Amino acid sequence: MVRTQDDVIRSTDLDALSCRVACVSKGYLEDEFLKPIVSGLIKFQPLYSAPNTQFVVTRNLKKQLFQAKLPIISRGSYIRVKSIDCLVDSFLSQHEGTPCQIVSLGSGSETRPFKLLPKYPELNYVEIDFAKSVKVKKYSILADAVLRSRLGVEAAETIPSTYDEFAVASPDLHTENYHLFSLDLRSIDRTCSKQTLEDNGVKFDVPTLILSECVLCYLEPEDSNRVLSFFLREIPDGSVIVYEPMGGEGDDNGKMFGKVMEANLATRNISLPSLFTFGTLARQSSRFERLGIKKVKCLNMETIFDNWISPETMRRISRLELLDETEEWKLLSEHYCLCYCTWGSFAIDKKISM
Amino acid sequence: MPSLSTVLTATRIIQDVKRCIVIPENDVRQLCFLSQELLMQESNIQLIDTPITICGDIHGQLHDLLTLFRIAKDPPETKYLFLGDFVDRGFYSLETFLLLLCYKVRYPDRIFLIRGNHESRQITSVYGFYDECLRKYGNANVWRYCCDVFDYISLGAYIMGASGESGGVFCIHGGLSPAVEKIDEIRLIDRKQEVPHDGSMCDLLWSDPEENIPAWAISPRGAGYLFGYDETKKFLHRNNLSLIARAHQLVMEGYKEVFDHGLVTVWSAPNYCYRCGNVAAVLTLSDDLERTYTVFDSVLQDCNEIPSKKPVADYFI
Ligand SMILES: C[S@@+](CC[C@H](N)C(=O)[O-])C[C@H]1O[C@@H](n2cnc3c(N)ncnc32)[C@H](O)[C@@H]1O
Repeated sequence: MVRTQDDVIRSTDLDALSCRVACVSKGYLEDEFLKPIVSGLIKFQPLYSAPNTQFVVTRNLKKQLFQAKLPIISRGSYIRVKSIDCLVDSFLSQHEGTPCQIVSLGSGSETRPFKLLPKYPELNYVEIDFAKSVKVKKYSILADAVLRSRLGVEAAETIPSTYDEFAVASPDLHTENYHLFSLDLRSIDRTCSKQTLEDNGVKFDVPTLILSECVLCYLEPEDSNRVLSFFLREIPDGSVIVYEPMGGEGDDNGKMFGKVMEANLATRNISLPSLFTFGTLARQSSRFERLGIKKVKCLNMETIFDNWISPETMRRISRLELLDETEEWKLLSEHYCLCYCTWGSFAIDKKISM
Repeated sequence: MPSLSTVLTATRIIQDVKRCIVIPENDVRQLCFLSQELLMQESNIQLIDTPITICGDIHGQLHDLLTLFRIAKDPPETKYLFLGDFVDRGFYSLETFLLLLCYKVRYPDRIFLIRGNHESRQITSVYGFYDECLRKYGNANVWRYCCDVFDYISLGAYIMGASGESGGVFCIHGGLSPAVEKIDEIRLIDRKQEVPHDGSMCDLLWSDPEENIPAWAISPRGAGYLFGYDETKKFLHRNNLSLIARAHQLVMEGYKEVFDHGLVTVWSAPNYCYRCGNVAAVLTLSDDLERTYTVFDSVLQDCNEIPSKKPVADYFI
């Protein structure tokens, strides 16, 4: 299989997923849908490779997915998932009983729709990712009775099980209120029009929360700005959550963490084009404000960890494992941000406690 | 005086480690045994005289340790005190520890080691040293030999100034303990054990200074305490000290003095975990205890002969 640049970017979903796997196995998080998603990935992702190499791919996938993680990585992944969950819950409870929508950009192996759709019948959930990722997720869903039932999907007549069958299978999956479809985000408002999105289940007339959990950071700043401007223009009642790394700014000292991160990720061929453009909380805020969004909040993950977690939860998670890396935790967590902003009805000032 | 065979073994291993050749299991066992014999005789608090070069955490960053020795001169030319945390996190914990042990058995009066909180079975099973040994040897024997040595490493050091008794320097990996008022009390600890989860031995290896509190506070690390200005001043006064030199915490500038220059943190692992972008430092104390800091940066070399994973640091991506 030729590995394209998009494949490299797609592979970052494995990192995110393996962190959640570690969080669940250590007891930081509970996620009953992770297991079927992981088994699906292990089953279908290798079908992109030539039959004689599939077993190697499977072995490597398993190795990566179940790799041990250091305590700071578990803690950081925990706070990432949980803080976004809390904001999503806050949004949904504010719109309970009325139609609303979540559009998850680059959703990868995210499991939120399985949890949320049965709970909020008025919710429309849209997941967008590259075709290859979407196809794996679609068949992971179709192959598992629990995931199917959460979304109300019928069992498929046939499930592809070879390279050839998988190659011709169609990637997208649509139900009445769940839409998993393939799109290169960079094409939004260029080759992909509002109509295309509408045809794929995106609604433009309901309160909408757009999620970007480590996704827009893989786009050039102009591309990510165009994606956000598009939704800002087309959706009257919209809100956005962005979680991503920040490289810092200023002299070498200010940018040191980002520079090292850039160099480290470059060895995997991954680049983060906006790492310095949106490299600080101030730069992040002004990026949203410049697009015309009035209510903007940007916090680093250290602040969130210190302020959003209730004493009980803090006691629980500090007991899970010894964390010897306190200064490193500070350094790492202050270089990640959670920005949430709205040009609609989402009250973002509500105090969050988890 | 080390015996001729000890000298020969140590010299050979030093060369092989520097060339990144895997040290046979049997040699590791022998070296660990020799080291144990030697360390066993040292007291909990070693008395060392000046001049001395004090180094903080190394964390398996072998190439950076070699840089340190290049800049500050190999033992025996320079006399060294290492403040613990030789292993974990970096990809060459074993080689790092073996190199230090070789120097120790070869020049026992020119290099001193004290124990860090990572020199423990429990911590090394989480932070990489155990996995590294397993990866390199296919079994955990080498890890076990090393852990047995950990139990014998002394806890701290006292550096006398030229003027003799007063104004010396207390060296420890972590910091103070509410259970220890006088340095002499540390001498009574039975140190030959796995690092306990609480009590004075644990605190000495785990505690951190904190500028914003006066006395004691709970540590976010889950072991040891945070200690403030007042407690530090009292300890210095009570023990007639001019300085506490410790390691344990990453410092972006390599070293940091706090509490009116009464305490210094020395950190000797540059670009820690291949991710942090910090510089490293060592502290040299002259005969009249004058402090000189030498700052150095990281090198990234490939050590091809040792099967090891590439230094790819983890991020949230
Ligand atoms: C680091 S993963 C995050 C996955 C998920 N949001 C999470 O946090 O668990 C990044 C995801 O964004 C997707 N992605 C990146 N650039 C994209 C683009 N231009 N179009 C569609 N998806 C993209 C990748 O395929 C991948 O699934």
